[in-house]
Amino acid sequence: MEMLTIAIAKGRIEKDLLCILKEIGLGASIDPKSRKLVFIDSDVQIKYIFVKPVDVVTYVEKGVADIGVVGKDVIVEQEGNIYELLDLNIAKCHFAVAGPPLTQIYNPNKRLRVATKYVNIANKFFEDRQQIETIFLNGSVELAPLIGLSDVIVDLVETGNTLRANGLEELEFILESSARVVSNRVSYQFKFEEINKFVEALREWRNNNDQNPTAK
Amino acid sequence: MRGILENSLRRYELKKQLDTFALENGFLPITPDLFEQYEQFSESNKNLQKDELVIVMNGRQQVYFLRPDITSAIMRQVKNYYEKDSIVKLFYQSSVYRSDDYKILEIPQFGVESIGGGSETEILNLASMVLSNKEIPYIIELSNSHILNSLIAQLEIPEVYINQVKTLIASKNHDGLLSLGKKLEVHDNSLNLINVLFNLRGMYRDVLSKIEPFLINEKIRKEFNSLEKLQSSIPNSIIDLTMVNNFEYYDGLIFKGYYSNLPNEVLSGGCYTAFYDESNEKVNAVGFSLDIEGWLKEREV
Repeated sequence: MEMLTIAIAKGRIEKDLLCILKEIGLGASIDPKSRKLVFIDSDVQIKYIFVKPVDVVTYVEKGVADIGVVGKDVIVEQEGNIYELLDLNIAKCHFAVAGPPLTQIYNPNKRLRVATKYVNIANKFFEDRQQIETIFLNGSVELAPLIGLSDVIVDLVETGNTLRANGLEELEFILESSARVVSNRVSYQFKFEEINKFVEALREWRNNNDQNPTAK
Repeated sequence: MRGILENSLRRYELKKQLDTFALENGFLPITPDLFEQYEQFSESNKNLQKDELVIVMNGRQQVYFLRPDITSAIMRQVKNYYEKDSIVKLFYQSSVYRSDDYKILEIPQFGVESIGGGSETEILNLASMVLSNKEIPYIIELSNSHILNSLIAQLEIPEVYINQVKTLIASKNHDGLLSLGKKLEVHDNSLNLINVLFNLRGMYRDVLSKIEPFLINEKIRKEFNSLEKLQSSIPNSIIDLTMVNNFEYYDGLIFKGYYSNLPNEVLSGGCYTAFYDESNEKVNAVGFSLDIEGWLKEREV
């Protein structure tokens, strides 16, 4: 049996996924309190590597990891040449255009200023809808319309609390996001049995927990 | 410096082996055109990512681009000189070009094309021989675009969504396709087919047992059965009916080759309609292209 390498996005997905792995009898070697980034379940030949969410797609695309667990937001933003094998239905949120109440998004005579960390997603969404100027920001995007840097923002919305706390509201829905299991295209050929076994175990967990999820 | 030159010589010798191999198998060299007409090419390749094209303009502001693929260029060249019912066997070593954010990528390729009735088995055998190296495991993935199109038609999804369906299938996105099917309120049979679709991978017998109810006519059944013959004669081959090729001119058999150490496919090819001859009859062709850098990388280790 060949070793399967799985890249896991650190943070919110990591927490939920570790619970799921435990439930399906995997991840015995993982110590969440440790600062180690690599763990190996020797008995089932699985190596787990913990990486920044934005790096998961790169690790998988370049074949360093066979599989990755990462948010749809990162997949859509990075457009990696990878397979998207499963929607885990955890870490759910959505992309939205947000701004001060009553902000007019669509105006053929004006270029809308959009602050975002997700330039690709913003550009694609507005492509045939509205001329925009994208302003890349790494964090605290909600600040941009408040201080006049942008008219609106494009960002992930989970509960909407952060938007409300900053006097912003959701103006338009863009797309849903949740954690996805992705695979390298070549690993899918050479380690199909191992990948399929892992994905099917997660699929079974998801199907059993869709009505009454424990890790959502 | 000496090391660099020795490496260069080694690469030259390896690339020369490809030319010799093609010549020994009856293929003749061709130098493909560098430029493609934008309108013409993009019309017949709607799935092609336009932002990957390297666009150039001539003095009259007409838009061209550096070829993203060599087969189309060769077909245009051969069409003018093609003699009815002849078989033209050609090979090339040349580059394709892609735009990648801040860079323009030049991707050297080796390829063979058999125009006017070449044998699928012969071409697949050549592909297998090119990939074969006792040190390195490889896999050749086989499919047929007619079968996939027939399966997609059976989903009864409106035409306007077909490109989205193909994109979801190409990325093995089972949940995404299921969700689209549910959103469009397709019939239960279609949802069942979506559940089967992503398991249509493996040896011929395994795939047959799953696809049987969806082989809806003799033509599609015959095409599926032809994969059995190919799989039994081509070493390390596997059937995957969800394989999608970026270039839409493929018409029938399609295949891709992989090395375990490379993150992407190293070879791809298949059957296609080369062009229509003077009497407006379809001229078929079969061929493949090989990513020379990937192929060399495996041999330089």
